[in-house]
Parts: sequence; C-alpha cells; structure tokens
Amino acid sequence: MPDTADSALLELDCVTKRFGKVVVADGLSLTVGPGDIVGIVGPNGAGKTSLFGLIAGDLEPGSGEIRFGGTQVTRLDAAARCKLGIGRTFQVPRPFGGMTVFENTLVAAQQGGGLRGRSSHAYAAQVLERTGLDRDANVPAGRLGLLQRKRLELARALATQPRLLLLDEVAGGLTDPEVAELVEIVRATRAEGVAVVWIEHVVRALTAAVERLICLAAGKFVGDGKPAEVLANPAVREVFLGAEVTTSLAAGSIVPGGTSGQIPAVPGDAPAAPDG
Amino acid sequence: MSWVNAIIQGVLLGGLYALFACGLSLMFGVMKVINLAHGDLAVVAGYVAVGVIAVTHIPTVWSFVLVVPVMAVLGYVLQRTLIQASLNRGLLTPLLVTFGLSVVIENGLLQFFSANSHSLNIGSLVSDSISVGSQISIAYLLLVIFVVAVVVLLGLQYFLSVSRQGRLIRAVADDREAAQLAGADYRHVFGIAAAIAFATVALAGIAFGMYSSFDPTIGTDQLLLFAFAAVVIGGLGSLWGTLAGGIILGVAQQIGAQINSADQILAGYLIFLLVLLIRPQGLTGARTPS
Repeated sequence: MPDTADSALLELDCVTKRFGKVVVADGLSLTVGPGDIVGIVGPNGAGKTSLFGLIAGDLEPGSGEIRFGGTQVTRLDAAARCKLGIGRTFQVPRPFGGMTVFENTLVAAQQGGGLRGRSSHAYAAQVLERTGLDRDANVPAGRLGLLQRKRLELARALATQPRLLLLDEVAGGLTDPEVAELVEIVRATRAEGVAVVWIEHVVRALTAAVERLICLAAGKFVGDGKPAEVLANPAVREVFLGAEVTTSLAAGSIVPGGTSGQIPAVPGDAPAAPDG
Repeated sequence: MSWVNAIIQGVLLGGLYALFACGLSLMFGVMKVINLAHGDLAVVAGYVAVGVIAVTHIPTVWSFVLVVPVMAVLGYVLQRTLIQASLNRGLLTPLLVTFGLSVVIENGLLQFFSANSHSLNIGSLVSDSISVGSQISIAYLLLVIFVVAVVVLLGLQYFLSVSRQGRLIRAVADDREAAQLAGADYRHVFGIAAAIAFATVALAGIAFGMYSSFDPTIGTDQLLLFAFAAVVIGGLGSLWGTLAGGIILGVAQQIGAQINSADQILAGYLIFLLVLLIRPQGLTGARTPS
C-alpha cells in the first residue's frame, strides 16, 4: 500500500458531500496507489455508491479535493475523468439498450479510450473476448441476461482503458460460479497493472481478490487494512451487526481475529450470501 | 385519374412535411426536447435565405450552401446555451423555453420583416412540371424536394446506424450518464445533434420558401403542427417512420382537398387523431409505454 503522495494514483483529501441533511461523505480521505486492489464494504446507505460518484465525477463534492495521477480533477465532469483513466461500472447495469454489445464497447473504446478506426474495433473485440462476451457481440444489449449485462458493464469500463477501475457490486445477484468468473476477470485486469476499487455486498467475493479492505458507514471510514483484520475490527462488526458479514462469519467462511487472517481461496466453494 | 393525382401530389408534399419533421424527431429522440420553436426556425431559415440572396446574389437554389451552415451553428449554440440550461429541470422547462423562443422569434421577425409574406423566387422552376396523361402533372420542384427529403432522412438514418458520430449520438440518447462514464461529453454530442436538426430545418425552410410564400406567423400556425403530426403518425424516434408519417399526412391532406378544397387541413388532422386513437405509439413505435 503506497501511501506517499508521489506514488498515489487516486487521492481524496477531506471530501465532503451532503444531500440536504444526509451526509454521504464526511471528510473522506483516501489514497490508492497504481495497481492497488481495494475493497469497500458497508451497510446500505453508507455512501458507497456516492463515493464512486464523487471519484468518477457524477457528483461534485461540497468541499475537499480529488486528485488523479497528480492532476486536480475535483471540478472535472465524468467524461473528462474517464478520458484521464477512471473507469466505472454501475451497480444496476445500464447498457445502451438499443445498441449491440459490440457497439456499446466500441463507443467506450472510441470516447474514453480515445481510439479511432481499426484499432478501436480491434480493442473492443479484444475486451469482449476477455470478458467472455465475444459470442454475444452482435446481440442488442437490451436483450442480455443479468450476468451478461454485468459483463458488459465491465467490458464498457475496460474499453475506456482505465488506470483505475471502480466496480460497484458486480457480483450482486449472481450465482457463485458466475461470481467466480467475474472475479477471475477482475484479477486478470489487475494483473495488467490497473488499480481496482471494488464495492461489494458479497464479502467473500471481495476477500478472495482484494489486499486491502475499507469499511464505510454513514459517510465515514471505520476500518482500513488487511481484509481479515478489518472484518475482525469491533467497530466494523458493530456497523454490520445483523448484516451480511456476520452471516459470513457465522458460516465460517472468514476466520475472524487473532490468527493469520486466512482468506477463503476460491469464492464459490461456500454457499452464497443471500443477496447483493 | 384525379384521385391518383391527389395521391401522387400527397406523397410528394409528404416529402416536404417529412423534411420539416426530421429535425423535430431527432431533437426529441436524442435530447427528449420537444422543440416548439421548430416551425419558427424553418421560417428563420427562409428569411436568412432571403437576406443571403439579396446580399450575395447567388442563385436561389444554391442559397442552402450558406443558409444550412449558418443554421447548424445557430443550432449548436442554442443547444449549448439556452436548451442545455433548461435540461435536468423537469420535462416542462425545455418545453417552456422553446415556447418562449418561438414567441421571441415570431415577434422579432414581425418587427424586422413586417407581416408581409415573402417567397424565394426560383423563376419558372416553380411551375415547370412533367405531365403524365391529361390529369396528372408532377411539379419538378415538389419532385426535387421529395427526393431531397428521402435522401436526407435515409442518409441520416444511415449516419446514425454506422458512423462513429452516429453511434455516439445513439449512445448519448440512450443513457447520457452511462455515456459520460464511457468518456462521451454529452453536452457536445447534444450540440452536434441540434446542429444536424437545425441543418435539416434550414433545408425544409428553404424548400418551403420556394414552394409557397411565408410570413412570420406561419411557423407556429402550420409548419410546427404539420411536423408534429408527421412525427407522431410515424412513431417517435424513427426517421423511417417520420418519412412515412409525412407522406401519410400529405396524402390525407390531398385526398381531403379532393373531396372538398376547404377540408385539406382538416383531413390531415383527422388522420393524426385516428393514429393517436388506434396506434398511439405511431406506425413504427414500440408498444411499450414510456
């Protein structure tokens, strides 16, 4: 975890965002280095998706600064940040329904990725192959099932050639083998040096892939560190009381506290969390 | 034979209506803006043509070379300023803004050009025609306008289907937030779409100025309504549909005129109402309610 300002890819400095009286980001500071893979957990309404909105540029912070690759991006819109290298997926997939899977990816490659002509076509095709969508390339995106929509969401983000990939609950609503496939794609992406920040309710999917876990509650970070340590943290457990993590803990798929903090090797070996 | 003639004239006239409706359809499809100033903008294009011809003395037929780019730039600028500012403030705001624009344009034109009607003089071209038999005569002008309309609408449909910019416009029309996350600056794309819409309305305005005389009030009184009827009959969001809608409107009007010359306009709107009753999504529209 590089924490020095020089090597940071993404830096949030005391970012605050309010919707009326609701504080979705309360002085959040965060540093993500190039190639890092960070998981974010937190109960519903904790401000996870808003945090992505702030990083990707859908939301403008009330105060604070956001830097990406050393550039001040606080006032840039989502399209400009995408071109700088921030890719994002939506929790509920939002494909361009009237266009084919290939066209969806092509637009991202040409706009966000800045590619033209033949190279953009080749790159879009390559991304579809990587995300397991090559067979559906000519299918209208509106006709895809959930798993393929999630894949397309990922493909469109990857086609913009991001240096930082923001994943918002890609595993939600999928079966375990499906989750395992998506985790594999994320791992491969990360292996290419793309930093990943990943929000997930399916905690086992996260712990299988991330090296650092952050817990967000009521717009504040309450835990940050190795996944097992964070999940064992009493403050985090309190936040999650009765929620998914405790279920997972009870199921024994995560070993809490003291010991070596073992992470389950393959998601999909254990029963799935009930919802996403 | 006179019925056949009425239908032929209707089809040709429908091309002109489709040309008017094209920009309205595009702006609704992409920005979800119902541009109530659409008809007035066609009239503006007519007056710009009058001005351009008076100043440069280029032949009337070639005036579009200057008028179309001028209107396209105007479209981009209006979209990026006035119309963009009205988006994200509910469905009603853009409607009110374009209504306001319509009132301003109409009164501005009355102020500068008076209520007298103008037309674009194309000499004998306006009355030249091909005669088929004794009853049917096809005016060259209407035939040319029809061909232009077909080329413009189908060309635009093709552009949207296969070109890089066209695909981008479709993506932004589909989901502008998602398009932003794919790296597309939707405001610029909206501007481009508006520029295309204004370019087509410029062509329609010039064509209308050659076909008939125009005055500052005709934009709202007739042209907007015809365009609107053509778009609704054809189905929102499909340029093929818009072409078909224009033709159906034209044929209905001519058949109405055949029955009783005072019923021309009425017959068109009766078909419009009939379509709204039987098939509210239009000819090509999907059945799903929006």
